[in-house]
Amino acid sequence: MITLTIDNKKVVVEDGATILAACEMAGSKVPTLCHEKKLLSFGACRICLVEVEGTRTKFTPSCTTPATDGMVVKTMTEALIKARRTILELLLISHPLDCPVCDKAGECSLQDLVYEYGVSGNRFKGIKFTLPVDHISPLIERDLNRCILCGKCVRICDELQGVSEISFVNRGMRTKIGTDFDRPLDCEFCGQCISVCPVGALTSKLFKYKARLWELENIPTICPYCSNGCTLILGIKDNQIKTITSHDDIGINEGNLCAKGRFGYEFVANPLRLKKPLVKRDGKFEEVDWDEALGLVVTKFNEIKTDSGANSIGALGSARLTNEEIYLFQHLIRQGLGTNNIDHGGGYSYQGLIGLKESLDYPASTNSIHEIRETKAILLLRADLNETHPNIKIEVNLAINRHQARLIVADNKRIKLSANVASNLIYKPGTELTLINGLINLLIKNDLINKDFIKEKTTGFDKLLSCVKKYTPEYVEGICEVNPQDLELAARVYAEAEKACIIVTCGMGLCGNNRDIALAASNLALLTGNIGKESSGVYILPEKNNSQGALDMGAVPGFLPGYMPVDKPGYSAFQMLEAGKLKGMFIVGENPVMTYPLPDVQKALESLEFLVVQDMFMTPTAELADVILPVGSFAEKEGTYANLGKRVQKLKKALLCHGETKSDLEIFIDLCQRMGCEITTDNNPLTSFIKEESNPLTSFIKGEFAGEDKPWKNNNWKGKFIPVESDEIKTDRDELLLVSTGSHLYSGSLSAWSPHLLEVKGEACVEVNYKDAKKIGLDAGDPVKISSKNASIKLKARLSDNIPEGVAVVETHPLLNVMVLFGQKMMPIKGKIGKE
Amino acid sequence: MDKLNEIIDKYRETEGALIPILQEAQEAFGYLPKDVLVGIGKGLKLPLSQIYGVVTFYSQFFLTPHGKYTIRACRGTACHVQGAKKIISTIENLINLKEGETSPDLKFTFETVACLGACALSPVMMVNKDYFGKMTPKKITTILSQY
Repeated sequence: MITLTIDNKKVVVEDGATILAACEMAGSKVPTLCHEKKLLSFGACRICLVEVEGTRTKFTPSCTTPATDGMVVKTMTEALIKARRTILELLLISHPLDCPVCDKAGECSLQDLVYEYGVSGNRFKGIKFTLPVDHISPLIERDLNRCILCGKCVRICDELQGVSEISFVNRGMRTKIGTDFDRPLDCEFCGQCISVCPVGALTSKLFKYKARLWELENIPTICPYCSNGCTLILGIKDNQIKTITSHDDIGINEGNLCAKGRFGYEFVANPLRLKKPLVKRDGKFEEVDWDEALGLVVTKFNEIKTDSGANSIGALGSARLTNEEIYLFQHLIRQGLGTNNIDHGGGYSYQGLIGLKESLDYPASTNSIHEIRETKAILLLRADLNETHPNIKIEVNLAINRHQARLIVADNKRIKLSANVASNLIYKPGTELTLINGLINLLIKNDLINKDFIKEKTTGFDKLLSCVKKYTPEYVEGICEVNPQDLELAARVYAEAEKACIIVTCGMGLCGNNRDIALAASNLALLTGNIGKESSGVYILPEKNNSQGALDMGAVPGFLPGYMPVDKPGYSAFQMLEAGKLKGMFIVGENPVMTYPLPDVQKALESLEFLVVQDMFMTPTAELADVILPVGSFAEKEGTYANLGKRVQKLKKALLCHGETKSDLEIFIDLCQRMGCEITTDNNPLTSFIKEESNPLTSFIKGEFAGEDKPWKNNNWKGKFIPVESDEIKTDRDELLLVSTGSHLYSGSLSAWSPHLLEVKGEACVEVNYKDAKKIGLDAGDPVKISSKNASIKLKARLSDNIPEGVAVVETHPLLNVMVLFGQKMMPIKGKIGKE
Repeated sequence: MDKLNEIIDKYRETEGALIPILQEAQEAFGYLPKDVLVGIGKGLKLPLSQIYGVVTFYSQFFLTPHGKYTIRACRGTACHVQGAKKIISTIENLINLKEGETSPDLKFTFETVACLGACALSPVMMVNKDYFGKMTPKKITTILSQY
């Protein structure tokens, strides 16, 4: 520890802390422009100068100088004020004073400092820059004339995002921030650069001329997109979201957001949103009032129940609903309609979590998100984080860049994170289990396993041992097409690290074997003793904002809330959608026609006697409904979401209801009452779940939020080795192996209605290797028809050398159902591609 | 591109080898075309934006084709006093190029520099790696006619 004096005040700081950190601790405000807490020190702007007694230099930059014992620091002397004024004058030589039309005005660090230091004139004269403003790049506007070259955007893009889209270009007076060869931005459009820009050089195009910053009411709430659970700050004016920002000290995301979180809010104010309940009469939708619509729902469902039994009714919920809503929905279906036919996410999106429940008795990621950054080795197992969980990618980048973690990427293709890997395992699609069994075989052979842990904390090791015996590196090479050296290196990197974690995504792309992959990952972690300690474990990253909650709250055929098994499990989602199985369905917040891998969903839904769809938009599924109940968006309701670390976070109502919509919760309460299904004060979400701090539903979630220890803290806990194997998929010479991966915009339930996000996404594409393209005779951008035994679809070709030969990657797209190619099994499938 | 891979391989084990690689690549290709920078980026696992930043920082790297002969005229203080302006305008007239331009036949590129470090010989010019001192308009004509 270091003791020093700042402005006559003694402070104690940790070794290695900068003078700036010490000043902050002492409560002395030192101005900064290029400093950013979450980035490495840079020392570009010199505005944070302080005086240190006894040094030869007059001023010392506080953000880059480490504090030393006995230092005596002054932060606000006459000389310092003069120096800072001069620096501001120098910046103002070229910085345009177009504050009246600048979107940053009001939150501009330069404006604030010029005001604070009273810089009114300028002793220096020089030319203002006249660089063209970049209006071409989507979402982000770059006016480099306003840039003060603090380099924060360059550094956040490099250090946290790992994208390095921009850099310092040219030198001297002509230095600017630019892309290579001055092209428009073609990056992930996370907008992190906007969030750190101290001036108005980088601004959001969506916010341009929408409001002055000081007019906005800032309301923090939870992001409705992925399972990371970032806190968004909604900037509200006139009952509309004008912009979304973040704050370093609010929420688990530490101020970091991705493109979806920052720019994906347009769906809320989309004019296509449904405003009134609709009832289909003679094939046409008519607007009706709530009483009529809900009355009809109850009458019809009761009729079907009386005529054909409760088992002929089924319900699909959504992992986008709040915990309270899902709880009440399953209550309504189970108590009100009397059936266990309830599911969500196609019945497959949560199978990874089920896998962990089986092996570790804990149906969620074992460790918290921020522990990733301090781990020593990371195995990304089919986890293209740039696409699916951009903020988890930040954790991985921090681990690599700041904690010397080593990365192993196991995927069907080269992903963006592959650039920094210790070992890159590109395996033949569908052979994940063989690959992991191969790693396990190597660990056992090379004695890289934790024998004490296996003996004391696990069961079933013998079964695993006999299962993996045949998975020698040569055998694995034959099936996975991964060379033995790479496999050996990966095994060593993972097992020799003092703490290592495995990250798997689930519920996205092909997830037919999600449960088995989770089990395989868990086997690997148990084998090396990487369960139950910090910065290790298995992370299962589900797709949606409340994927965890939907499972915890029992929106599944086999479990009640809190994973209590039911006596007679209901139909799974796929079973419900077999034509003729059901007479009535209640679909809430899901769009099976666009997202389920079943080619005949539409037929099945059309064959129903009665279909109720509860959604914000007229989706292709809603078009088939008899009654449509319009609902409020995340910004118009209260409730809680559980993120992938089981952290339960509250939504805040920021907007008034849209038209005559109701929240899902209000609808469920109304229906419960109409169906005579009891809501006591104990389980009335409106009176107790949301309003009170202790939410009774959290007893079903447990984990981090309820302060309950994880099961392995219990001495009697034992992890189960559950061996898993898979069949190989063989392709003929003229066939490709089709694969689908999760994409940046997921299924499109929200993003499809956010036009600017869609613009970034571009058209639906199939990615193939250059060599395969040549064989088929394809050029980049060619329209192609791609077919499997299940279906065929049309999209555009994209050529890439990131895809191995013989494989075609079909990204999910918000406007096209690509999953139909794969059918119920949701595994890689043989297929053909031809020019259309 | 084989040539480029050879250069990159030579430095594969060296930390911070970007600048020598750029220099050798420029030597081999005459300038640094985009494809070469992309290749270097892939080889060194460096983002293209950062390589572009380095290339544009140093005046020794060119992104456009350069003439076979690069003529550099000094406009430093000593040369200026000794009549560099006249020298520069003579060169410009003789090869019909303005400062920073390259002739369409890719024979000459003309540049001016702040100092060539040979003030005793001012006014000075260079053609590729050869120095020519105490220049006069007449001498320039003879020198350039040799190329």
